[in-house]
Parts: sequence; C-alpha cells; structure tokens
Amino acid sequence: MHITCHLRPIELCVITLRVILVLVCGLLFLAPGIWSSGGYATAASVPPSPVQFAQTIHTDALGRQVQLNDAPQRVVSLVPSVTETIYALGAQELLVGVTDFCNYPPQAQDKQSVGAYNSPSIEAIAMLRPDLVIIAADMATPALLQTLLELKIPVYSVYPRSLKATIEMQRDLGAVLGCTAAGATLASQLEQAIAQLNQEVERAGAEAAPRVLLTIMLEPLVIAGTDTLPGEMLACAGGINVATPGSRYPMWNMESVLAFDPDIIIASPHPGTSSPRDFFLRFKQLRAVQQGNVVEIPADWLQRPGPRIIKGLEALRQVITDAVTHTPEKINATQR
Amino acid sequence: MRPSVRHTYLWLPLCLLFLGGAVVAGLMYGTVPLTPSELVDILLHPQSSGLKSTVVWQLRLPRVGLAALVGMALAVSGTVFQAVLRNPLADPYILGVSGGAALGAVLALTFFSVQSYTVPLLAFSGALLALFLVYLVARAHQAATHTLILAGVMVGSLCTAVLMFLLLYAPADPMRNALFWLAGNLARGEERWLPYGAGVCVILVLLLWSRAGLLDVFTQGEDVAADLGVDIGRERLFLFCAAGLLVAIAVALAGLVGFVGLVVPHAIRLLWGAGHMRLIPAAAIIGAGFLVGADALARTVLAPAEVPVGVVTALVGAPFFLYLLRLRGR
Amino acid sequence: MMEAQMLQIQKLDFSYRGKKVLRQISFGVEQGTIVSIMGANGSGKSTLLRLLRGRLRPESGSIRWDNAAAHKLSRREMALQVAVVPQQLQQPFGFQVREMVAMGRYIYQQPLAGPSRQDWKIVDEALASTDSAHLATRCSAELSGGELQRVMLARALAQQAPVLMLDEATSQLDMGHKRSICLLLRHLGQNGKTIVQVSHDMNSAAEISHKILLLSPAGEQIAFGSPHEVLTSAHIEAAYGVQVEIQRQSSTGGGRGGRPEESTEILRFLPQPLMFGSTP
Repeated sequence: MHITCHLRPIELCVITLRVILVLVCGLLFLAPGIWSSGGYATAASVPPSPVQFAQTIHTDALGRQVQLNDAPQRVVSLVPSVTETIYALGAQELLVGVTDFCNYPPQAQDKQSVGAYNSPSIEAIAMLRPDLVIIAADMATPALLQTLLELKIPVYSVYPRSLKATIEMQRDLGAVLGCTAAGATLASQLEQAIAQLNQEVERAGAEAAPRVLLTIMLEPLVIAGTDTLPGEMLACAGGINVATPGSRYPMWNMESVLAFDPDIIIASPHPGTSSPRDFFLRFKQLRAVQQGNVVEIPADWLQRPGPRIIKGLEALRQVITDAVTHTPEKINATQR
Repeated sequence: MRPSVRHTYLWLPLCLLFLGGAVVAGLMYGTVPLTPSELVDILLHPQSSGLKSTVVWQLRLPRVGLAALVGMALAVSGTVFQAVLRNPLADPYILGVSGGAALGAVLALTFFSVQSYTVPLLAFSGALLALFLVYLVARAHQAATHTLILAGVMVGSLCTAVLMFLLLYAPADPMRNALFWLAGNLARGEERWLPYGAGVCVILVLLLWSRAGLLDVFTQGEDVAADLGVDIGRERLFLFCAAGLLVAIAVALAGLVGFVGLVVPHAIRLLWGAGHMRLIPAAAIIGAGFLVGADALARTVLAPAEVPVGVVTALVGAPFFLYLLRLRGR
Repeated sequence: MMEAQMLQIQKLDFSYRGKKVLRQISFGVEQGTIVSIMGANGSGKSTLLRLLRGRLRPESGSIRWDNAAAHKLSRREMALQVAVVPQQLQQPFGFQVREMVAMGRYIYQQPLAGPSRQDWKIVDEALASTDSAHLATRCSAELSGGELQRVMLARALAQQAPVLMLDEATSQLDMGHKRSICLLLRHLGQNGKTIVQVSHDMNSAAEISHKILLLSPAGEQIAFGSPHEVLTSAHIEAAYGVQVEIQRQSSTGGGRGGRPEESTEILRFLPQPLMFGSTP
C-alpha cells in the first residue's frame, strides 16, 4: 500500500468503523420494520401490584401476561391514539399523564405531559404515581419496561397497526380501564362503519375502483403502501393502491408517480410544508391533476389508529365516489 | 506498481468515459424503462410531449444535473480538505459543515417553513456560519491542523446539541422532514437555483484547479509550505472558503450526501497519484459520475420506490474502495 | 573575507512560553560560506533557524537579511532567498518523486500553469546532483528515510535560492551518502551558495564549515568563529558536557580543496577511543 501507507492503525479502525456504521444504517433504512417486529415479547412478567383492588390478568400486544387492577385510577398514556381512545371511551378522568404529541381532543393538551412520544421521562411518569401506563409496543424497549417494572408501575402495551388491531385495541382498552361496555360500543361503531363501506363498495362494483396514491410526505415523497393502516383503509374504502403490494412506507419519486399515473392523489399536508396542489400541479399530464383529484385529508384521520379513523374512512370513500361520479367514463377507461 | 506513473495519459478519457456512462445510465434507467434508441429519439426531439419525454426532460435530466453538480462539489472539496488538513480521513463535512447545515435546515423547517427555498437558504447559511466559527477559533490559536479538525468536530457537536434541543420543541412532522432532508435527497432539486449553483461550483472548481501547485505544496505540511513560499494564512483562508462554499452549495441543494467526498479523492490517488493538477479535474469528473451512477442505481433497484442515495454511495463505494486498497497493497 | 555579510544577527533574545530559549546571540553570515550551528539537544538550534528565516519574531535584538528584518519579509521573498531542507517528514499522500521536487518551483509558477519545461529541467538536474535521479518516478510514500532526505535536498536545490538551510538534514543518511552530501554542500559553497546548517556531526561540520556557532544547553552563544577557534575541548565540554580528544592533523592539501582556507588542519573529535573510518 503506497498511497495511504501513513494511515495509522487507529485511523484505519476509525475508517472501518465508519464504513460499518454507514452500512448498518443503510440496512436499517432498507428494513424499517426491524425495530418493531416484536422481539421483546418474551419479557413476560407479572408486576406485583401493591394495591388491594380486584385484579385480572390481561395479555397485551407484546404477549406479556399483565396483572392489572380492574379499575385503574391513575393512567398515563404514552400513545396519542390511546389518549384519543380514552377520551372516546369517556374515561378521561382516569388520565393523569399524556405525551407532547397527544393533541386531540384539544383538552388532552391540558393534561400533565411526561415528554415526547418516543422518549418519555421516567421520572415524570413516576411522579404521577400511575397504576397503569399504556405504551406502544414499538416504543417499549426492554430497558424502559424493566425500569417501570422495578418502579412497580404496571405497563400495558398496544400495537394497533391494522383496522382489526385497532378494533381489538378499543375493546381491550375498555376492558383494561374498567369500561368494557364503552369499549365494545366504540369497537362495534368502527366495525359497522367498515361493514357498511364494504357493502357500498361491493354495490359499486370493481369497475368503479379508482387507482389511488396515498402520500405521507411530499419532500421526499414517502407514500403509504398496502401493508399499512392508511393502505388498509384505502382498500376498505374501495380504492386500489398504486404502491407495490406488501409495501409499507416506500420512498417514491415523481417519475414513478408519472409512470403509474393514479386517478386520485391523496396528501396529508403538515403545517409548514409545501401545498400538495402546488407540488403536483407542476405535472399537468397527471390524470389526477387534470381532473382535480389531488385531495387533502388530515394526517391524523388516516395515520392515527384512534376513533377518528372512521372519519378517515368516510373521507376516503367520499373522495373516491366524488372522483367516480364526476368523471366516470375516464375512470372506467383506465381500468381496461 | 507505481500508481503515479501508470495510465498517466489515459486518465482524462477514462474519467470522461465513466461520467458519460453514468449519465447515460442516469437517463435510461428508472421506473419508466427506456431503450437506448428511445432515449436518443427523446433527446433529439425535445419538443415532443408524452410520458417518456416528460420523464427524461423534466425529471431525469435535472436530477442527473443536480447529482453531477453535487458529486463534483463534494469530491473536489473533499480533495481540498484532505490536502490542506493533511488528513486522509477528512471529508467535506469535517469542519462542522454538516452540523451547521442541519441546524439551519431544522430552523427553517421549524420556524419559517413557508416557502420551500428557506430550507436550502438557511442550510447554506448554517454551513457557512459553522465554517466561519471554526475558522475564528482556529485563527485565534494560530491553528495547527489538528486544532482545526478538533474545532470542526466541536462546532459540529455544538450544532447537533442545539438541534437536539430544538427538536424537543419542534412539532414531529418538520423534524421528520428535516431528518429525511439531511439524509441526502436529489429529488428535491430547486430547479431555479440549479444553474446558479452550477455556475458558482464550476468557477470554484476551476479556481481550485488553477491552484493545483498550491494544494500540492500544502500536503507537505504548513511549515514546509511556508518555506516553499506560501503565505499560509491567506492561502488557507482562500482554500477553506472555496471548498467550504462548494460544500455549502452541495448541502443546500441536496442535503448531506455522504461518502462521495471521502472515497472519490482516495480512489483517484490510488489510481493516478496525488498530484493535484490531475487530481482536481479527475475528482470533479469521477465525483460527478459516481453520484449520477449511484442515483441511477438508487432509483432502479427497488423501483417504483427508491433507496436513499447515501445508502447506495456507501454500499457501492466502500467495498470498491476496500478492493482498491487491497489491490494497491500488494 | 571582505565580502558583505548577507545575514546579520545582533543580540538576539527569544523566549518560548515564558522560557528563555536563546540569549544574546550575535553573528554574521557572509555570502558563499558554510555556517554550522551546533549544540546539545534543546539548545535552540532549530528555533534559531526558524528565527533566521523569519518564521518567528525576535523578542529583542535583530536579524537582518541585507538590511531587511527577517520577520518583515513575505514568505515569497524569503523563499526566493532561502531554501530549507526540513527534518524528517511524513508523507500522507503518495506523490511521484519528480512532482515532489517540482514543488520547489512553486514560487516561480504562474497560476493556472503547472511546472514549465524549464522547471522540469531544473528538477531533473537537482535530482541528479543529489544522486537520486533513479528515484524520479518512484512514489514518495515508499521511499526510505535516507532517500527522502536526498529528495528533500533536491527540492531545496530546485528552489534555486542563494541560501540553503538544513535542519539536521543528513541525520538519516548512511555513511556513504552522508559523505557525498557533505561534498555536495562544500561544492555548492564553492560555487557561491550560502549554507546554514544545524548538524550533530562534528567531524563533517568541522571539515566543511567556514564558521561554527556553538550554543550552550541554556541557549547562550558559547563561541562563533572558524572551526579550530570554536571547537576546543573547553567549548565542547561546555556545550555537550563530555570530554573529547581532539586530533589536529595537517591537511594533505589540494585533495580536499584546501577548505577552510584559514585552517591548514583537520580536526577530528573522538568522544571515545574508538574511531571509525580511516584517517584521510
């Protein structure tokens, strides 16, 4: 080695480490599901509860057997969708702590916050003396679980990544929070909405199904694939997702949008990002642009597995029927 | 083997061939498949409409141009930083530029974020500000090169710390945007700015090329360079400004694309020696070609989805570089 | 020796981080002479060389090159005046040896242009005169220490400055190459080059130098003058703390070129009874 012969061993180590780091990061990027694919599920444990309430054993989303008070009094929610669900159950009086990201309903923001969704403060949680902490399974690291267990704080995990899981979560939360009936009602509302949509879609027939692009972010262009909650909701509302079947949240580019030329483009603009209309309007040959089918639906209606996904489902169905009724012949033409 | 003498006359045609191949690949491959004859046809008839023509003229050409520009800027600035700091590990981001740019971008996304051009503008300012800060610290110390590198790392860490603090208060969505943006993205080219950026970058590269002798002398260490007649303080400021400006432009246009600035200069040194008369233009051309090619690959392997281009540059660049090291080590 | 002194040092004091490194140094260098600066490690020899080429500013006293203060000359002006052969250097990047020697031509190059044909000719001559023409196409990173020092000397020669400064530049050479560099330096001196060197090799310094500056460990000037004036047992003991045996031999005449002129003797210093090499 003549050229770099003065790399000292330490520098070689640094180079090698950098290369490895970059490669590992790259692989993680390609397999985003790697963190959330369970793996902590074996941490089964029964938190010894000091209280004298009647207790029941529940199985949570991590497969842990959790012994919980039948009527918890002080609940901390570390999941925005759970916070929303608790309000929908009418159990908000039990809620003593939320995260910075729990912004709905608006009064949830008045509750004590314990930090960010992905990095809650354990001290803040402990200070609230909760008898139940509800956490998202993909945020429940073994270390966090262990710490909370050592503090004798019971933890219940949820993992609503699909419509079915969302329905179950609503039912389970009802059971865990001691309002089983409300949970069942909430769950059956969602079930009914889905069943109703299925009927409608069936009546409309497969020909009327437009091809839809569901975008999550515009810059870069990240879209929702079929194996996601928004993707499932789209299928339920009678749209055909243009993303590759089985995909999660791939990054696309405009070329792919042009190549697939969807009938409808749905965007969920965030405050402060460029408007979807402006973004797609640059390409007038897009069918969705020509027919005015670039539509905005609030991100929380589609991406947050709480009670508002009924709104999301209805909005999706509305968009699809609007598109079909306004330009039926063109939509049908694309299906040939 | 003597890398310095081999292929001495072949380097330019080889570089251009590489760039040409990368550009053709960049124009041909993507979600919409094109045959070579279709590509020629489209390029010969710029006025024609149709999907493929739009894809080539409106999407792939600007993107290939942006990739070439960013690749060139990063490779040349990496070369300059490695020479001036006499450190083979130096990359364009070594002097805190990445931290400054990141902070600027997040500030833009968190607080201003109405117009899309605030992000590149603030990233650009952040990068320059970080460089300036490093330079101030270094000047106060009559800087040895390791002082500069340390100052760079510290300024970078400081920016990262402020950024982390900001992110605690930032809404989740701008944060996510900023992180994606920082990972490097060639899709969001501000087309209006591309010609200006390209103009400035080409001028800077030519300027640096014209000082190839100066860069050669700098690799001997500042002490020796001073004895050879270099006004160290002034010339180093010039080289830092030129290279820093290149990086800042690259960052503003495409976020933090990694690996190009580190690997390309080394690969060329291994192939054709360390003389900057050859190294600077070769780094510019190969850097451009490398990023264009990497981007073509990033758009194609998982089409219609794409892979972040930084992942491809690392996945392709690192093994190739290791292979070169081994080859030359025999 | 009636020639004007091109370099004059008067009552030079210098401190580094509050510690006095050099005290009251005064001497002069005439054109075409060889001056060796000697002294124990840490006696401020390299610092003095840096002061001479204007890289450091004297605390008090003066250093004047043809009546211009050393630290006021620009780097370029100084490089046109003085070429330096540095101590051992790391080469992080591999240059072709010819390219490395061509760096000596930096001050003569126009921006935008590389070395001219004339420059390359000078480079090749410099390589040939340091007995390293065969290294021309080698990679700098694979040179041995001795080869690198010869290339550095070639680079300093390619710079074509009237003054050559060497900072222990022959420390890594083997006996044969050290000898040939010594002879080359003497030859350069005869042709009008002024040479200021820091050296630890008392024998060769005594042989080729016109003047020797001997520094004490505390940075004081012990003596300045011709080798036989300076290199006495008492001075050397003051500088190095060792006793040496000095053999004074009559020069064999023209074979050595009769230098230094005033001396008809050759000094040999024997810190220990063992003696290497044969007496000339």
